Amino acid sequence: MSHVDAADMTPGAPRYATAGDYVQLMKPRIMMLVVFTGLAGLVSAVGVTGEAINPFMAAIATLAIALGSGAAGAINMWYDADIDAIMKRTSTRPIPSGAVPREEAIALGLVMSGVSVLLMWLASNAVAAALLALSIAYYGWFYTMLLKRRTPQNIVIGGAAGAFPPVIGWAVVTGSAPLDAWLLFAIIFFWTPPHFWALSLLAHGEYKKANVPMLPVTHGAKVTRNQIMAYTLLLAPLALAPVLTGLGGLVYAVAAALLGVVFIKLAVDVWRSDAGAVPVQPEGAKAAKRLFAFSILYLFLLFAALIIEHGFGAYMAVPGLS
Amino acid sequence: MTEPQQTPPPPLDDEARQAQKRRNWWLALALFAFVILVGVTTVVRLADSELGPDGGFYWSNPPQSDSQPMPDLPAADEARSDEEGSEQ
Repeated sequence: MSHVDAADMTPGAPRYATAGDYVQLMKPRIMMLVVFTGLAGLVSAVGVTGEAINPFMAAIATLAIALGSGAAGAINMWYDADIDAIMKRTSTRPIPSGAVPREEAIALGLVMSGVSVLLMWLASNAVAAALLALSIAYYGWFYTMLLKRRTPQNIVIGGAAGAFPPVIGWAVVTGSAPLDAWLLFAIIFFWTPPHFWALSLLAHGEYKKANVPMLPVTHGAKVTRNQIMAYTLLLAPLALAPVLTGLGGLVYAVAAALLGVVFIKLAVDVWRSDAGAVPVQPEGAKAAKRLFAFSILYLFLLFAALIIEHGFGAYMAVPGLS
Repeated sequence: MTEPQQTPPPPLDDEARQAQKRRNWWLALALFAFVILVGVTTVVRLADSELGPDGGFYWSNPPQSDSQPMPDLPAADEARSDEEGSEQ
C-alpha cells in the first residue's frame, strides 16, 4: 500500500513533506530485505570462519547497509520521477505527489551515500565500504540511468545491485569476499527475474504507458512466462549449492529443498496460465500475484535458515557431506 | 554592468513554515545522530585496537618481519655532549 491515499489528494493543493515522505523516498520495504540479506551474510561469515566482530560494529555496519540502500532508492526516485508520475502504482510517491522537490531527493541520496560508505569504512574495513559504494553506484547509476529505460534485460543485469548485501555483510567480518559469499549473491541474482517479472506481468500496461521496456512489454507475456520458468529452474538447484560448500547445514538444506519445490510449482502455474494477457484474465493474474508474494517469502525464509544455523547454533552438517 | 534584479521569494504560509520547521528539526536530529555515531564508533574501535605488530586502529605502518630493529636512542647526557661538541 502506498503511503499516501490517492483519494485524499486534492488536485492542485500544495502538499508539504512529512518525515514519512523522506522515509518513503528511501524505499523502506526494499531496505528491509536488503538489511536482512546483509545480516545473513554477516552472521554466516561469523559462523563459517569463526572470526569475531564487535556487536556494536556489526550494528553500525548493518545501519550503513540500510542507509546505502536508502540512498540508492532516493537517487532512483529522483531520476525516475517522470515515469513514476505516469504509472498509477508509483504516482503517489513523494516526488510525483509534490511532497518532496526533486533537488531534495538527489541531495538526500548523495549525502546518504557518502554517510553510509564512511560509516561502513569506520565500523568495518575498506573492502566492505568499497562494495557498498559499488552497490549504490550500480543501482543508482548503472541500473537506474543506463539499463532501466534501454533494455528488457534491465532487471536481470540490474538484479546484481540487490544481490550485493550478503557479500558486503560477509566482507564486514572477514575483509574479503570468498566463494560462499558469492553463492549468496548468485541466489539473489537468479531470484530477481522471476520475482520482478511476476510483478511486471501484472503491471505491464503501466510500464508500456511509461515507455519502460520491461520484458512483457517488448517480448510479450508468453516469453516472460517462459523466462520466469527458466530462471526458477536455475534458482531452485542453485539455492542448494551452499549445502555442498558447507555454508548451509541440515536446516538450510531442508528449507532450500522444500521452498524450491513450492517456487517451481508456482512458476509452473504461471507458465501454464495466461498471466499478462490483455485483457487481464483473473486466473492468470492470481497466479502471478501468488508467485510474486511467495518469492518474497522464499528469499526471507532461505536467509532466515542461514541466520538460525549460524546465529543460533542450529548448524548440523548434512550427513555424507561433512 | 548592472546586477539582474532579484525577485524576493514568495512569502510562506503558516503550513509551509511549519513543514519547514519540522524538516529543520529532523535534519538537526540526523546530523546530531551522525556525529554521535561517528564519535562512539571511533571510541569503540580505539578501545578494541592493539598498538602492536598486528596493527591497530592508528598503526598504519607496522614493522615488517625482515626489517632491522630500530637502534637504541642515545642517553640524554650523551646526546647533549655531542651537540655541544659540534657547536665548537
